[in-house]
Amino acid sequence: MRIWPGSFTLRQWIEKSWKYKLALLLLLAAGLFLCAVLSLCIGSTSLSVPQAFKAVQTGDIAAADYRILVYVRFPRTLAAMLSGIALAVSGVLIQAVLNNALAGPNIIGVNAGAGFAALLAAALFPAMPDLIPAGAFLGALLTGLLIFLLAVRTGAGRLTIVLAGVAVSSILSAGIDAVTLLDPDLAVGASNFMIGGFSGISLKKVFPAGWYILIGLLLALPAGNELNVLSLGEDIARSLGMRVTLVRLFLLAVASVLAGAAVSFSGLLGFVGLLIPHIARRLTGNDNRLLLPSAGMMGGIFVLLCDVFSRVVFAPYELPVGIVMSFLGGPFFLFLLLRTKRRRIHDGMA
Amino acid sequence: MMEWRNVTAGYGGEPVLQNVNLSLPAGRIISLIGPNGCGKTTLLKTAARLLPVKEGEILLHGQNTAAFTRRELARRIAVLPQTRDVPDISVNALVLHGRFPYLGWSRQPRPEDRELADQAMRQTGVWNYRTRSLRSLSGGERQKAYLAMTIAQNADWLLLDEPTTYLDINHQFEILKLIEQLQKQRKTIVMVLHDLGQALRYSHHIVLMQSGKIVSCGTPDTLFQSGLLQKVFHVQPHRQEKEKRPFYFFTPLSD
Repeated sequence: MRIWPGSFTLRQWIEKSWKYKLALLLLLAAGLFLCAVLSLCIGSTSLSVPQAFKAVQTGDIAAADYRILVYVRFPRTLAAMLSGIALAVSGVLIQAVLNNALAGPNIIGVNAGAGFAALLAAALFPAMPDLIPAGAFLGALLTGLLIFLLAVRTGAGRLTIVLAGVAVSSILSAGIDAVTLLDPDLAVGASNFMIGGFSGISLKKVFPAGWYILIGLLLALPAGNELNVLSLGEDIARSLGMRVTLVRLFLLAVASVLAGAAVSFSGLLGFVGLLIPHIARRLTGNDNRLLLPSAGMMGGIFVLLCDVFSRVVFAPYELPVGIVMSFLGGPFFLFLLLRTKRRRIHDGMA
Repeated sequence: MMEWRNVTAGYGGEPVLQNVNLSLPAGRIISLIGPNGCGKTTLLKTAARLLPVKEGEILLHGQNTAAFTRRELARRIAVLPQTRDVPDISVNALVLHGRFPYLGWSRQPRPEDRELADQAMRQTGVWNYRTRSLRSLSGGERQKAYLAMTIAQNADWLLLDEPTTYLDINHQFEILKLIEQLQKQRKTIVMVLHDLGQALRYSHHIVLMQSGKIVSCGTPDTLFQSGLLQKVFHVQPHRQEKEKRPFYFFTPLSD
């Protein structure tokens, strides 16, 4: 009996029907919008939708509602949405570039690289907070390149790449620990940073990283067909006329921009990049043209929901969203793995 | 015609192919044979520029293949490697990827791309399961789907690495029949075949290789008479005719 939408008949329908694709995208867009509204309204002081609307419309800067909405909720909602979208899309890209369903920005160390470089920048140049996103991007890119070179140069198998990523990731995490130990001023912020979260975020922290994310998305979203061809394997992609190494390098750079920029303001919310591409693939099949936007929107929805949950569950206290995410996402991911037929997992790794 | 001039190629380290000179006629079925590890696959991959030419040059109808962009090359030479990932996508999606070297910036297939993909699926007989996932197909069906992708690429040269290996015998013959059909449509087929009998029976031209060198290059019958098969494979070849077509079989040398 096939209950889960990985089943064959649904897949066939997806492949055939552009109506399904359109409906899915519209549904996800509506969901994303709804979650954003939810995130704007719910919190330690909850506002109803009409209240919120009125507060913005009157634009009374002195009113508490307005100030909460514009200076607290809006930056937070934007940050959660952007980082969710960026990390999920980055995950799809990395999985396709390394041709490895086990990969993700946190697994192969891209997030840790971004975090390490961001903290290093903060420790060395405390007066220049603008360096943090640039540092995060650079750290993510260098780590990504390192893993890519390992993959290409050694011809290492897929499992080896993941293990190498775990090793690199733990080295970089040790680097993060070292920086925070040596610079006690950073320590308080750093523990929040490593768990990941959005409390106390401001628009100044979200941008310019937010622009990096938008540019990254503009470059990533049209690449669906290239990802599809890459998934046929290196030799076939090349014989179909693709400049494989160039395309992979480019997409990995884009994935690093996305993950690095997200990490620079949201902290190490790594799990999204692995979890969401997998869930999204159940709904879209393996067509990356549909997977990229779907995973992006699902990432946004997931992070927004987790953030709202983190604000509400012990209100007026807040949990860092990274904790909520792992508590909600982890078991769900395990559940998915259990439902996956054994064969498919093996094929994915063969 | 594809002409190899003093080509040295291989993976890193000691090159597998050293100073290979070879000329392959267009419009024929050409098989590469030789013991395991003799460099057949390396030769095929080098011809398609999947491996770099370290020295020498390969000319395709007089033009150096190194001068083509990948895209230009893909419109002239299509390759089917032996080991492949099997993605979880439909046959239809796979075959459409054969049109990749012709797509514009939007990467949207045009009606003629779909038409050519459909034709390729009809010709290879995968049309009826075009909506099924590759992973749900048998080895033979899968091979035909990949062949359809290669055909949709619409290149004049098809390079196939062991297209019949690991398939059930009836599927092997179906594939070989398809290959003959393609040759009649003026394609050139260069393939690595493991089965000597099939290679001799179905090819116009045989390239025999041993440890990175070309041992002989000619028609199946000249090869059969040359005594090289005994020397290279340590077997006794036999030739018989059925319905005016030769077939070959082999027995151990000591018999």
